[in-house]
Amino acid sequence: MRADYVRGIANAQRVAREAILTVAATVRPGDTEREVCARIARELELAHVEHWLHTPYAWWGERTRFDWSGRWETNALPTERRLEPGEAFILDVAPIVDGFPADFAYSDVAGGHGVEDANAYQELLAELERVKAALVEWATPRASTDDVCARVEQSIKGAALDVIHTRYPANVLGHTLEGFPNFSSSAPRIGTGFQLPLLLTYAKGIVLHHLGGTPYPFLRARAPGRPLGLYAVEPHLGKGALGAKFESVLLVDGSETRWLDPGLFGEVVG
Amino acid sequence: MSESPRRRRSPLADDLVIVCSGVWGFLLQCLGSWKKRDDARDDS
Repeated sequence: MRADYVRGIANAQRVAREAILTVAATVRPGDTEREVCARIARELELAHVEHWLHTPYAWWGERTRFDWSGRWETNALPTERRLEPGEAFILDVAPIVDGFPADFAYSDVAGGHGVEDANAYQELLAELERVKAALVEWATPRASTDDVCARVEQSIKGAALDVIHTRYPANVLGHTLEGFPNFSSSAPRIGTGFQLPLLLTYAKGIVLHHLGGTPYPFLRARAPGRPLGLYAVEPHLGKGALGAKFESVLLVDGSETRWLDPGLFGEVVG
Repeated sequence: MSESPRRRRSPLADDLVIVCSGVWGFLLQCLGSWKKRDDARDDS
């Protein structure tokens, strides 16, 4: 049963990754965020995706840092902004595939960047790789969730980089992928951005946590308890005008902690 | 390694803010994405 669930999540993550990487290879200066999001959605429609935790996001240049004022949900929606040569970009999508949720994000730089930016960007990727490797050691069933989040923040700050993931709604480093499919998984798509399965699943998770003591659905500072189960984990960091993140699925159980996709943007091995 | 009872639950006030903010953000997002779709239709 449990192995089937993990396989379902891994398959969904594989579908999301393939769609993002296929489109990422076609991203060119001059593309708008909306155009690229439409291409990602089209790729996933070809894979028969009809339901979403969130529809595709694409952020260009300074928008990869979430330095906007106002609400994340509205500012994060794809815009008509065009990608310039040398700018950082991030693609992020969370489809529901055969009832199982995925959440994958990819970061890169548009072709033709200067040497200085290239070096800064390599710093971001190197720190993402460090954090990804270290999380396997940090996120054990014996560690507190609060400590895991603190260690990620310390590592990013220790590399003289900015912590960006605390700017997400609920300031999350990660969110559970347990408990699917559920009553909300087949909810129809409403507009763009976060969708009902995401909102209702995590609202229900919070209510059940307080009423019944079920595990807390988020990895975030001040969160109670210890990590256990499957999480979409999304460390996000920045330097200067550049921002970068990965989003991968981490499995924490009694005997092991492992990524379903161990490399940075690498293959999903399940 | 046992946790104190107080740490077994997330602070309720924090979570009320998260849920209410999430619902409000979702409603604003729906309005925002519909407006952008209308703007795109007007432009084309």
